[in-house]
Amino acid sequence: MEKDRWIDEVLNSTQHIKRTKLKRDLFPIIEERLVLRETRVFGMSKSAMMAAASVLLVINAISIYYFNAENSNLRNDGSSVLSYQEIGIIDYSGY
Amino acid sequence: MSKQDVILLGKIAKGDKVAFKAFYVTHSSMVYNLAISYLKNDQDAEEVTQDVFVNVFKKAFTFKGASAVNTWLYRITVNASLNFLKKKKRSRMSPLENSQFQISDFLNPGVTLENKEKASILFKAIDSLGDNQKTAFILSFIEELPRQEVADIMEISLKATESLLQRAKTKLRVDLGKIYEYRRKNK
Repeated sequence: MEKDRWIDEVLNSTQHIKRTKLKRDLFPIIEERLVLRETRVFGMSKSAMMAAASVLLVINAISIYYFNAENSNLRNDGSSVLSYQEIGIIDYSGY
Repeated sequence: MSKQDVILLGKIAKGDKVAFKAFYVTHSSMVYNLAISYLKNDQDAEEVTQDVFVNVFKKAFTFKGASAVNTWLYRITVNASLNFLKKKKRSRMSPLENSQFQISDFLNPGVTLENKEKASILFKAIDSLGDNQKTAFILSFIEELPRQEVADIMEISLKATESLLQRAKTKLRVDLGKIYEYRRKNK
């Protein structure tokens, strides 16, 4: 049958296909990509570390600032400092 | 397994660029030709070839010699080509009506002149196969690798490879039959 013969010819059309050569040398491009990748990865991790360190420093500074401010308020306003009796601990026998 | 390739990969794993160049010179043609069978486009095949060698440089240390270097490299190339196709498919618009009956305008430069048209039809039909059938078919009938090597590359059994090939051929025969009828009616 002609149809089957045609299908067989199409299926066999790539038999003994020859290897084609690359039209250009890709090695310099590959090397460039590897260098870029190395640079980018190092740059990113370094900058990420710097950013993380900066954020931590800022958080620390803010915490210290508020902690100091709160402590100084307590010292100035005596009524906010509660004695053990005021908060209900009057019997020390249990301790 | 080529001892030379194993030695080269060992050196590449340590960052040796001279060994990497030697490996590229030996294998770039194989990688490019396999990529072109999947992508049917020079530029895309060049891009995949670059991706493959970047991966070889990055992953050379993972080669433990459990398979042949060629098998390992074929596997990287198959995966890179399939990933590239997936990315391309995602960005592509919906296919035109009757596009399966249109001959691809890509002519594989390795095909003999008298087979150019038929090979273009075959490459177009291969597009409609699923990833595994496509890979089994390309490795067996275009790369002309032994079945066992195809099985090793795909990390499946010999029996599973033969089953995939059988199903791929059946599907291709059906699709090619439709193309034959379409071309006969539109002559």
